[in-house]
Amino acid sequence: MEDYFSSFNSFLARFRVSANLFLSKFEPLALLLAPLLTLVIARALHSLLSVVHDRGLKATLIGVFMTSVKLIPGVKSYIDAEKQKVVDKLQSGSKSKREDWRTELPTTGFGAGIIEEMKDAKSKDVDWQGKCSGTVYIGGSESEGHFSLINEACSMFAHTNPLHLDVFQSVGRFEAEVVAMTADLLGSKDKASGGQICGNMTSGGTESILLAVKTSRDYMKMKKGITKPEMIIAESAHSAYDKAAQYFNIKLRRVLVNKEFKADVKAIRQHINRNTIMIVGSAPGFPHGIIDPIEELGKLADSYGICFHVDLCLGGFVLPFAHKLGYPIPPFDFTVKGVTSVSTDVHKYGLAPKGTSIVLYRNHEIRKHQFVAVTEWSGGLYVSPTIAGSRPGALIAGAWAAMMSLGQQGYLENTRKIMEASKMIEKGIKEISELFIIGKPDMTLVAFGSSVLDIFEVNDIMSRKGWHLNALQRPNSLHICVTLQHVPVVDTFLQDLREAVQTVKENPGPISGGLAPIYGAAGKIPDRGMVQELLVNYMDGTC
Amino acid sequence: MLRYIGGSESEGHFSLINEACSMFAHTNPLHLDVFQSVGRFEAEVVAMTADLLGSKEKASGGQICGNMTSGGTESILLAVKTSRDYMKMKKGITKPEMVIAESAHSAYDKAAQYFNIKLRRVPVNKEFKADVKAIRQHINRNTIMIVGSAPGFPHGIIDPIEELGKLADSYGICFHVDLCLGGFVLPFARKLGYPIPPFDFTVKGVTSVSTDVHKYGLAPKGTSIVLYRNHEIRKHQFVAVTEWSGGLYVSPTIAGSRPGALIAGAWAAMMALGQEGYLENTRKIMEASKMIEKGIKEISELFIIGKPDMTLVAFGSSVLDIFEVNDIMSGKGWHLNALQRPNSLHICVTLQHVPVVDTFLHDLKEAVQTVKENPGPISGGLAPIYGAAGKMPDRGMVQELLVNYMDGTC
Repeated sequence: MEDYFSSFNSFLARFRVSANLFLSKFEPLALLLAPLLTLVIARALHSLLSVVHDRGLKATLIGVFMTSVKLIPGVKSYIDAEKQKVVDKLQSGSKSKREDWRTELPTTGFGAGIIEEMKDAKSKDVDWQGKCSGTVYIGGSESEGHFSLINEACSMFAHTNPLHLDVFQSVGRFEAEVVAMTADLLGSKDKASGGQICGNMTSGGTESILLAVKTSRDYMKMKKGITKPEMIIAESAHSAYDKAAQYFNIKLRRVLVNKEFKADVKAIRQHINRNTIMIVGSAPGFPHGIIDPIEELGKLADSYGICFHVDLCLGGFVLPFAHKLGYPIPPFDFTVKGVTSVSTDVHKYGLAPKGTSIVLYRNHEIRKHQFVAVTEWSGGLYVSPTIAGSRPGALIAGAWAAMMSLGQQGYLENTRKIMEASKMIEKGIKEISELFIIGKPDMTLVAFGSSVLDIFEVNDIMSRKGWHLNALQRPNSLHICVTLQHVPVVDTFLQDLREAVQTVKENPGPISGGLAPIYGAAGKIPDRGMVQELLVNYMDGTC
Repeated sequence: MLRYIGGSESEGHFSLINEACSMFAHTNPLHLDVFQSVGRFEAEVVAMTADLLGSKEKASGGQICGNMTSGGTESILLAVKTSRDYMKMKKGITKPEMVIAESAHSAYDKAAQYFNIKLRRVPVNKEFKADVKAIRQHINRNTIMIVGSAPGFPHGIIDPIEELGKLADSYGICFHVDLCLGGFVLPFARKLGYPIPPFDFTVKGVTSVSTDVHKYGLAPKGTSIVLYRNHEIRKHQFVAVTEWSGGLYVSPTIAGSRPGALIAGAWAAMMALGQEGYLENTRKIMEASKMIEKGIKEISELFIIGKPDMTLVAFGSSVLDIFEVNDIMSGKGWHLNALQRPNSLHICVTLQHVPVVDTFLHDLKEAVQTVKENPGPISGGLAPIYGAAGKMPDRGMVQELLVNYMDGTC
């Protein structure tokens, strides 16, 4: 031992002598500055690399190019002028309508007479019955039948606010029952779910998604100490995940879908790293109505110990019933291992009033991270379950009324009708040779594109015929989200679509006032930051 | 405090807004091309409210803009998120902090937790107002915003908005004025001659404002407004998504789809009342609340907290346990708010209270007498819990208790 120690000592001494001899060849000042300079360069390089890592090499290069180009005098103002032109085109005409809009409270109130004014405004709205993709999911007229029922329910509870549960106990019960009944539809009572499913009502699919992401972020921070959270989603996952990422400081990775337009499990796995907190699967995705491989994604999430959110915003009130009706629906709910949260909208196929959705969690341990407790406010001890404080109890009452009046049989019957209508539409579109269906729709959304025509020109013709379809990208396509409103007009839709395709085939080229050039151009602009600015400017001018 | 609209829920104003809501129950402003009527209602509600809060005054700059939201909490969350992103662009702040008074709403804590912002709560001064000097001391190079309430929820007292505005302006940071309660009262109270200090966009330094239409605006629950000094700031509120195969997407507020019914109801409420309607309502509630304040002052065991500027009256006691008084009042059917620091109660006066001021004061006198003669918690009362939670030094434990309570409730 002593020998070892002394030979180590003499090694150190020899090293010291030879190192000093070597370094004495250099100027002391240089020896001081070299490490500092290296540090500065390393930091700059690190920042550059993290920017590239964040935004991708292509986006960084484009960003650098665009910034330098804008420095040339005149270029920036030209670009701004062109941007403004696009924004003006998108808002075509709506600006002039706004000029005679009110900007101050009338001195004397209209009293009950205001209802007449509202009737007048309503009559000027476009004809929407049976003409809109999604939008209105309840069948029939808005002044009868199911609509009438939920309006009455809402009115009865218009004075309530579930923030004050002690006062409005009826609403507290309605909310709990809506959540429990929905959880049951999504496998909460199945042994495989674990029996601990819990959740809350929210104001819509976006809030449900925001809460699921926030909760997963805080849960994974506690569980794995992750402080620079990242999440991975498919290109087809809803834009609300981008919103969540921006709000909650989470790095978002959007991964291309596979050839079947489903989430690409292999590619998603490649993006998982030690900062990943969650992955997302959609059942189905909004763009093409296709269900992601939920079971595989669940296994993936489980093997990495991360959260897995299943987006059932569209599918929650259809898939359980489509499954019962014998349609081939792959596993999608809490019975799938690895699923930690689910979002589902009651105000879509649940036929509840707009403003009602649900977020569910596998267990209480996860869900507790959704709540916000405040102890240092002189206004008292405060704990809030979801994003809002005060909430309209009316909508909760309306949702409860909708679910209770329909019952399982009502939903089964509705599902049968819309699945049949959507299969008919799919078949009809397949017969139009210029069009092709995107992937194999699992549910009531049918997306279609064309390799011979500009599909957005077809959209412009359909708009002229009164149809409001959704414009998609990557690939450029359109979709119709089939609801009870469409059941009586399937033939009319297919007829109009056939005509629109013919019109565009015979007269290719944009129609005046159409949106096709804008959608087409935005898709081609490589500087995505500029497209974002365009969208922001458009919104800024609209409200 | 819970119901701001007067009368029964099945008649009068309620009936009117229910009819308006029902007429537009099928609408969703996410689809503006389809439901243009609702787009107009929303724009007019925002513009009319902005006008009440000084948007047309020269001092405001003429660029005031904003949006409708689902409630005061969303308005506050958006104002904070927007300020965070604006200050990141303006000053490159990546570790944002915000400074608020102890009396500012719990929604600021929620915003801080959601958006990764460090929150500093500063004790109020002797008048229970935001302490400008203390707030200044907490401002550092990471501070993105400060907040003033007009009035604050706990005690109904208006913070020194002008001084806070100057402070924010001198540091080049954002200043949010919380008018969730005051927005539809203070402009009218001022017209009626009540001494209201400056509180709106005419104050230099104010960058954003939140105000609830569903409180004293008498609109259906689920309607509030967030306003900004100019478009440059507000643009940071929007979220644009370009890489989704579902299409190009841009969203102004937190929600995607929204219930157009509530927007229609809010428009109907404001248009049905008009300035005269709000003026008359404000006159009634200010008088009722002054009567209540006077009546409480006459109860020697109680004291009023600070000098209420508006329709909230907070009161405590140095001789009784005020939470025991609350338990007795609950037994009599009253739902008051329990506050802390100091332990106290408040009543937020609405049109519902106008016909029952005397009953309230009478019940309160009785409750005070009961507690005076029989001090000690009543069985099933909440006093021990409120009292204990206030005394626990481990605030993390109190937070856990609250979370567990909520977890068991829903």
